[in-house]
Amino acid sequence: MTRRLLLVDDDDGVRLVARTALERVGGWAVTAVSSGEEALGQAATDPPDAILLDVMMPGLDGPATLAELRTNPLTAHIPVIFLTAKARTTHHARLLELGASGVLVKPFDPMQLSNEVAAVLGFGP
Amino acid sequence: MTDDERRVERRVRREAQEWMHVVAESVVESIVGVDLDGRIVFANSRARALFGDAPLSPLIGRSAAELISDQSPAQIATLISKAESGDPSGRLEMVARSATGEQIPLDITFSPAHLDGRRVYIASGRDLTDQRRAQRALERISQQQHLILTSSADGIVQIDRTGIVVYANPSAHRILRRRVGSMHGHSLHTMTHRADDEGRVEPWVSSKIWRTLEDGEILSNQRDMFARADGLPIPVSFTSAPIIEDGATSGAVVVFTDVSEQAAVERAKEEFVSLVSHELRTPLTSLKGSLGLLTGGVFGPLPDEAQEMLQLAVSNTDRLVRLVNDILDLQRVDDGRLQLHLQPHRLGQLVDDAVSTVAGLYASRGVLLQPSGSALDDLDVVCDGDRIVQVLTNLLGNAAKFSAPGTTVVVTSNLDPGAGDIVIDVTDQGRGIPHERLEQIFERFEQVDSSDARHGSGSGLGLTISRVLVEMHGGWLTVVSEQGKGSVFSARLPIAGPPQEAEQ
Repeated sequence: MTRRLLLVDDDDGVRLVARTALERVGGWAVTAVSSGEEALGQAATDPPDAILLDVMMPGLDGPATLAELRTNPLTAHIPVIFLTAKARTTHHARLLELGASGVLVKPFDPMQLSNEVAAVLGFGP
Repeated sequence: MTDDERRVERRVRREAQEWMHVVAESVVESIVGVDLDGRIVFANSRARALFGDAPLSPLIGRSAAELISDQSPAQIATLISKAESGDPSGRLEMVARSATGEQIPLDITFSPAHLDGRRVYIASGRDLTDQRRAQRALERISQQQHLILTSSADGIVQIDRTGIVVYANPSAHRILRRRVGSMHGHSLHTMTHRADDEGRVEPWVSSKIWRTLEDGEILSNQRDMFARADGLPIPVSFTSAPIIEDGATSGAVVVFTDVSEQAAVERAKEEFVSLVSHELRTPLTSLKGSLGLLTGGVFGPLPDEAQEMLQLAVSNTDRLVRLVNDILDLQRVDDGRLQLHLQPHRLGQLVDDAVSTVAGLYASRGVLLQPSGSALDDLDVVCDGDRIVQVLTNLLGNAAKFSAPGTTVVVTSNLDPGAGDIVIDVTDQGRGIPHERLEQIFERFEQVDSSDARHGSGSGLGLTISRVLVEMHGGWLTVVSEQGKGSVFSARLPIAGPPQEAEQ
């Protein structure tokens, strides 16, 4: 069965690239949205297998979106991977403390993105 | 009067004169005796030296008025009448003319006396020249101090033992938005501290200034808040130093600077770094991603030339990413915000990670990479693994860039058991570095020569950051090179990690 991933990023370019990489290279079924608010609605109506969530977004940012997801029984269990433009490990540690399954760094290698997501989730490549 | 009585009287008179002579010669004052006509009838040797006493113009017999350059008969008359009435407190400052024509300030007292049966006045003058000079010097110093205090941009406040302001310079008033002179007599702490939103005020006894008064310590606080008169809190840095008098603290001097602007600059810098971090990486993510998908063949095979062009775009995008990372790293170093995450790491693993990162570069340049694989591979080194891999990757990358195809780069690790250090050497067979450039290559944006930029992929910051990172670990990064033969870069690291810094 095709794994379904919800991609959340406010940048059109990043969304297109990540979506293409995950679909074409990794074979994921990707739904892409551009804000935390949209992500909450989408995840509740059609819960995905995992969420790839940008950290810095206008409005509801990544950590706030994660916190909201955790309060809704429909979305509380969905593994979330942060996608961050900050490279520091201290920053990553803080994100993991919020309850994320993993942290991936921008810019990513598009040919490896799907493998990295799978590795974080404990899926085979 | 009998002969005996006359002899006794003569002896007493002689002894009295001798005694007077001894006294007159042993004091620091110039002493002259003046008769009622104003003629000098007696002078001690100091007076003779001062006014001159040559055989052709002897001092004895001259008019006393000639000796004084600013005669003031009324004052002299007052002094004389005081002396006549037995009041010895009368004194007068006069300017005398010395034998060499100098104006000598004298402090003069008059006493009536008898000399050889005649009425005379003894004028005793103390030379005030040195005292005047010292006074002028003191005035100069105090003027200079006044100038420093009034022109300083820093607030300078002197408080007494209880924290009450004794003096505050104009800048102290300006920074705290108070009328000049209005701080005098008030508690500095009360003036500069307001209750916070919850009604709490920092207690005086927990302030550093109080501790200076209490313990006599010089203390400073780089970041404190002072309240202005209008209630606005401003960030300040201050130093408080005790005033010690007779071994006890009698007060303190507090020097403070308004660091609002500095704080604003720091905030702006942090925002900028964050902006660079996010706003540069986001477009780079799209660039790198789309180019990576194209060269990865996701959209089908491409003509060779197109593939080559895309490869160029990919490698330059990677270079931009590294440049952004390096600039951010250096910014953190400059701000003191770069922190190491220390853990034991297997030496072999660190080298392997770096080697696999640069494997593609070596393959593309046709340079061979030979990791040593030694007994030390299992050694645990306490370090920030990511950072040491970053250093080794940088050294290996540089070695590849400056090596001709077919040559070999070797990584070796050696133990310095005496120092408890591990030394990792990266040896290349490249063109080497001229002796005079050896230290410069660690400077920011330095390349061995301008053509190096064309070798590509360097940010010009790699060695600078590598050296900083190794030094933060308590080690050092050095290079030995011979032109035409190659270079050896050595990273020396304490096995047990950076030495614990003494507590501040």
